[in-house]
Amino acid sequence: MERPADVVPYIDRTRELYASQAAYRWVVHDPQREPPPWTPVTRPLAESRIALIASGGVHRDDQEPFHFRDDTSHREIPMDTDPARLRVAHFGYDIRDAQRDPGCVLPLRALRDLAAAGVVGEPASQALSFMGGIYSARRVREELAPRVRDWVLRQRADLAYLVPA
Amino acid sequence: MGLIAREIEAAGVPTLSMTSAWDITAAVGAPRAVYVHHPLGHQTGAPDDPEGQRAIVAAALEAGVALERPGEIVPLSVRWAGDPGWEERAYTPEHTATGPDGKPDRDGPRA
Repeated sequence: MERPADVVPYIDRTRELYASQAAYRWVVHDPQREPPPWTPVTRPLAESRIALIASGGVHRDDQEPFHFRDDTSHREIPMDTDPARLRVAHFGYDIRDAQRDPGCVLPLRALRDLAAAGVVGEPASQALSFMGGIYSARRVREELAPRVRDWVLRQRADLAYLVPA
Repeated sequence: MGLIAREIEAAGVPTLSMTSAWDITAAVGAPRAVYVHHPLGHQTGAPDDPEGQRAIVAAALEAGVALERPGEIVPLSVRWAGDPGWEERAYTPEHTATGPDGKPDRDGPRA
């Protein structure tokens, strides 16, 4: 795994940007002591049911928008939703392009097209959306992560495809 | 997102995470990740570019499921076509995020 030379140092820049405040404690797992869990991929992509999970703060026009800080709620968005009905609420990135085209952060159409072309299997009927940038890692661990995990299990997905913003 | 990927993977479902923040993803240790060298908010492509978005998602899925080492991040070869030099400006005081009202929001760190 070769780290490209020009990646943006977000952890350092966050520290500089908020130098006047207590340093944000990014979640760090030691790769030796706490390696990532691992479930092998056994099914070909063309037969895989993919569950899309995205943290760009996209919601449908009839759903409540996300709130500004530490909102751990989620919205289910049907995969065939008309993009004209999608809205974006997020405090942590420049949302203007995503407002114009939610496909930048929630690739509903891309996944549908790939399924139609036979590249991937029929996706789960809904995507799960939430607003990332949750300050409390504890609340992500205790509230959001188990809820998303259980949702994925209910979708009977072969692969969870996670798209942050 | 990395914490959520780990939780899902631990429950027996393989995960693939997109990322445009290599350092954050490497620190948390997402099980499988694909890096896209785009500004935040564009992990699956540029606006109004459905072909480009589909190509990124297809390339990410194909590269991601081929990964065999837990914690590995594979870069895609796509480059950001707009704003040359965006890397220098990203997350600097002049170019922070915008809130739903389109105005900069600067009162707290983001995870």
